[in-house]
Amino acid sequence: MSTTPTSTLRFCLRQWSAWAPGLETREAWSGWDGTLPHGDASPKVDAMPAMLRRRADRLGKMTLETLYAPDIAYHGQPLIHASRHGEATRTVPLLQALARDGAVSPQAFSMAVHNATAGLFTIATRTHAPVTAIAAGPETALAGLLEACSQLADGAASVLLCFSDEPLPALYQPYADTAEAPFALTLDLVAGDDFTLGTGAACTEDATPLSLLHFLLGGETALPLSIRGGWQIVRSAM
Amino acid sequence: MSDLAVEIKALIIESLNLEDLTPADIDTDAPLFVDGLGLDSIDALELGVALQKRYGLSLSAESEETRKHFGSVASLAAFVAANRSK
Repeated sequence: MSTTPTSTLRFCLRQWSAWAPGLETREAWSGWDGTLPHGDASPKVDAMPAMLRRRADRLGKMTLETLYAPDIAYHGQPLIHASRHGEATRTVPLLQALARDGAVSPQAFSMAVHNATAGLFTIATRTHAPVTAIAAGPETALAGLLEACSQLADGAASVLLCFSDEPLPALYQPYADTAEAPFALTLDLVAGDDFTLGTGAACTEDATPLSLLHFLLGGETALPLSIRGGWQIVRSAM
Repeated sequence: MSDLAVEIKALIIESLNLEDLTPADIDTDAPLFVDGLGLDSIDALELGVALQKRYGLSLSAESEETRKHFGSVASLAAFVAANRSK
């Protein structure tokens, strides 16, 4: 007798960490009103060995700061890094150097791929965990959640879901459909049914990772996630 | 220590983002890669590009000779002094 595969996408939030300019502690985030962070500050990532840390630019440093956060206490679970624009501030100068000089920095090139920061983290922590790197345009928050819930439904006991982005380089800004804030956040998700993903909601906008964090830390019962498909995340009644 | 050795140390620190080091921290005769300073293969490529740009050297990434030149700051300084075109 075959068993019916479960199609329910759900999770519990065990821990979280986040970093943005002006929102550099857990307490600051707990009192956060949802206003988009801004500023040029960058975290130090003291927890990472300096010889590896030097490879990370600002986006990578924000990302790593949340992965290394004491609350996350990483222990080798699968890692998902979702970023809409990734290392655009690194790739634009890289492409400009290629056009100008015909040569690029090998170091910058090696870090310009979308999974480079997560890879650096697994090198530093000596883990062999699967890493998934996602960029899904305005649906990046949804795509990250779908991947995380799918891995949990597939049997993973827990997954780390990390989101990060930063403002686009000036060259790309005329083409942006929305202003991007500098931030990184990491969600330690475990199997469970505190939150459920489903479709059928009437959505007028796509949720960003920061609006997802605001929802998870708040008390609303549901958050619309995507215009396409009407995905939403629903909090179970306590 | 020769001026060229100091210059090469500064180039290593700058091109490889060794933010916490000063030229005095790098041993002129110690290995640059794996042991000693602990640089890796990406650093070797980066340093090669920086040396070519700065001194107009031509380097072959595959040759055993290049491997020897990259052994330490002292061997790099000798190689640069003998082959620089700027």
